[in-house]
Amino acid sequence: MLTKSYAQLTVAESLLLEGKFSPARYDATRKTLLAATDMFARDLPLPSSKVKTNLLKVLAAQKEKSTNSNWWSTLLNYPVPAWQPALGVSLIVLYFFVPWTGTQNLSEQNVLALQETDTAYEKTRFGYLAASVPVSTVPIRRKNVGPISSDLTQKHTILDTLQEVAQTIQRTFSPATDPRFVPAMQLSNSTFAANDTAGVRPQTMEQYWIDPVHIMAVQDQSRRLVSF
Amino acid sequence: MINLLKNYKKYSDEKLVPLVVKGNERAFNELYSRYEKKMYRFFYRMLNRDIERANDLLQDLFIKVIEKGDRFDTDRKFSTWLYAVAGNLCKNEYRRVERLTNNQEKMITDVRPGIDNEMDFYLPNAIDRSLFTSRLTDALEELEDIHRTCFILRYQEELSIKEISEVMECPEGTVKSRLYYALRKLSDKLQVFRPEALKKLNYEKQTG
Repeated sequence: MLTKSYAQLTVAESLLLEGKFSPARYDATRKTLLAATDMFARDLPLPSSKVKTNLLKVLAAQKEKSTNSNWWSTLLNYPVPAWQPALGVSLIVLYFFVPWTGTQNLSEQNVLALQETDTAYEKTRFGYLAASVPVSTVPIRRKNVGPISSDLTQKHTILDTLQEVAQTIQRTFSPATDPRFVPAMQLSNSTFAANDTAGVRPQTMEQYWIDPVHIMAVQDQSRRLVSF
Repeated sequence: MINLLKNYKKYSDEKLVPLVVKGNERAFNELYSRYEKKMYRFFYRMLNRDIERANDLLQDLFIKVIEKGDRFDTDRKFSTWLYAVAGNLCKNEYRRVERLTNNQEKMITDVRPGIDNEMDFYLPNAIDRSLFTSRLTDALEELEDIHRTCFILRYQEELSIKEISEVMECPEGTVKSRLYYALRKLSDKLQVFRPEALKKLNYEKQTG
């Protein structure tokens, strides 16, 4: 309406207006509108400069008020991009659950050692203790699995700690008659030496530990390895 | 030091508001310079061209921005929010002050003489144009608040239909119907200024 008179309208536009605006009405309305916009464009009052002066005083008061608020509330409400906490959580998860080189726990190391062995095992019992001990039947060794390095045997990971804690708790709350927790017998070095086919020297006996699946009793202080 | 180096002219309105709430003077100066004239003109039109009240409401408006700008949702457009607050201030003012109905004398003395432009076709001389302006202002005042607000936001502030619907919190169809009603009312009241009527008036003047 601002740009076209009634005579300048297209056929479609005229049809659209038919019934709503007569040509005379359309032109009258258009002229009113043009006059109004012209008036708005010419009549440009300016605000008083005192308004800004007063507003700056209010702003100064607001600034002092915001400075005095608790710095710790500002710190707590500080916006942190979502990727930062997500990255932190991911790093924690990776550290504890991904096997890094050199920090592999004893259980996994032992499984690997078992897989490389050429020694056959049989289940046997020593008093209350049941264990898998190697059988002296395999004459040829394909691999010579040496003793586990001391740093690995002595390394105590978090998983081992958790295992010990769980076992302690079980022992505390299980009945005394539970055969799983009868004190273990001390195994003699000769028991292992007689059945050793992988060439593990007797002085490494202390590094042996019994596969927990077959353990009937728990020994508190030491771990014995049955792996070759 | 870093604050002095920042160019706030490049900041959007939505980014300036949180800075103003914290008392940043440069951010406030930038935001104020963008909106002072627009909002003053809005209040001036809405309040029957009352200069003092327009200044008062302009000050109240920006005090609200400074003190309660933290309530502004930065996902919204700041100008829309500002006009909505200004509209509410006007409504409060209407309730508080008795509206003037006979302003013709005041309007005529305040109106500036016309300038040569395309309006010469419709209003050949300056006196007719100044009379027309005063009559138009009166006619605007006689409109209902919602119609007047729509008209001023559309044809003075040049907001889109969508923006007006957000300011006034009503559907776009409602905005269009209010604009149509306002235009019809104004054109009915200003019929005497149609060229045909003016020609008749001039003829009558010449013949005495």
